[in-house]
Amino acid sequence: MSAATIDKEKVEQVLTMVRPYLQADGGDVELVGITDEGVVQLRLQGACGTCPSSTYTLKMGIEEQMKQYIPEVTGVEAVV
Amino acid sequence: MAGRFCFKISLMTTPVETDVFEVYRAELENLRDQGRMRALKSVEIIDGVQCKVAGQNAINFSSNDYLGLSQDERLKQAAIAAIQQHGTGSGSSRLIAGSSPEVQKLEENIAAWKHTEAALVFNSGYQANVAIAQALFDKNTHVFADKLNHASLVDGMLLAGCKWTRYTHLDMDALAQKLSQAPKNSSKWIVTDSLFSMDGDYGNLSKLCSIAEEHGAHVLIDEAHAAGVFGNEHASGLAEAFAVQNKITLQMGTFSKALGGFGAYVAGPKVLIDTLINKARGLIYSTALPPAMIATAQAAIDLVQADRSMKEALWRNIHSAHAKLAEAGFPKSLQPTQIMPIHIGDDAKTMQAMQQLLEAGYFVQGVRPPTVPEGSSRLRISLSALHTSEQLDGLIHALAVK
Repeated sequence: MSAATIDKEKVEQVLTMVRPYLQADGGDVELVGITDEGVVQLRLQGACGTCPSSTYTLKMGIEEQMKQYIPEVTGVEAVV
Repeated sequence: MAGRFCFKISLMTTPVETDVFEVYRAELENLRDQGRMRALKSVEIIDGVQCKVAGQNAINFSSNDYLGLSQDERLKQAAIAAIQQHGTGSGSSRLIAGSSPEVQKLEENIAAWKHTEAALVFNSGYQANVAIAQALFDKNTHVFADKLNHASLVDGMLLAGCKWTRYTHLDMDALAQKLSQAPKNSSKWIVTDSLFSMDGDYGNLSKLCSIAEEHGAHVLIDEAHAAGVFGNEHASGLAEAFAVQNKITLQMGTFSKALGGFGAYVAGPKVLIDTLINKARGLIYSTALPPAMIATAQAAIDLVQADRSMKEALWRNIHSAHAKLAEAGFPKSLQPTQIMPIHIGDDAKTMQAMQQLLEAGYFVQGVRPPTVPEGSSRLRISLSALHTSEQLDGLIHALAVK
């Protein structure tokens, strides 16, 4: 699946939905890019970067929601 | 004359035992048969998380005291000082002699907290929602309501006699579609909980507000479960988190959950607050909240903005509990929040699970219809900033072996 078919706008919309629970404790997330394989690359910021639950949040929270809303997304990864 | 005649008749006939409450007894019987009979159980609060349910010691996973503020020394002292200075009761309704300088100051502070022109304090969330709807909606108003809105919002619409349509829970396309069918120049309101109390989920308020704008609709949101928990800077709720406070007409909320006290408020444009003062019967015909509750609310609003530590502790627990639940094989929740429903479906099984957890030392309320839709009975776990990591582990272990 090529990244060109993934609507960046839709990815941002999902991030709009996850931001309230990331920002609530001082974290945030930024879209870095979308790979040709359909992997959404995100940068976890603030408290999220150091939180022990951040892997779960990324994999289970954001990835699940991303895949449900945008079926073309194959995965989500954190980049520094 | 007539009375004496009746008396004679009754003396002459054989007394027949009639149950004057038969209708009510039959109704209760019916509920009991369906396994839907509710009863008040004794829940003694020992501290922020320890409680005693019908004599059994348990960790409380049922309270909406999300930040543990109901036990906070600063709030207690504020309440005590207000009682010492002004007494225990407010004496009359707001429009008679119950509008103290303290409640007026509180309303100014709520307006500042919510970034609105004005605010108005109510006695409870239920009262506020019913009164707001009754005062602002009439037969010419079209209300668009999320299907899982709180009962008080539903009751308000019924009392107001407005036209109303319910849209699929959180479905913004359904909302837009329903709005497009309403007459162009009619008065339209979108009414929704921000954080849903029985599902622990929330919708895309940014999208909701742009749909509202597009269709010329006003928005009323109920932040009862979100205030104090969401919002990075001021912890004022999901409207802050989505940065849409300037697009929402009325932000309603309560002091009785994360804010650890009692009472409710609505914040919005001055013209609507003035309308409520003139028309909201729940406000006009109720005695004002007592001084202790006003002081507690004031202290709580100051506290959640000045001290982030309880909110951070709650969110650490939210992230960790959701991760642990998923590890234990429970269905993943798309939106980690402090309200974690465990769906069971069957009413009796839900109440049985609640009893088993209680015996294991964890108080998690089972919720059945009509509070939740038919066939969706659940355990409703609510997290507190005061739960320890061991308590979370213990609960999840007890849930897993159940």
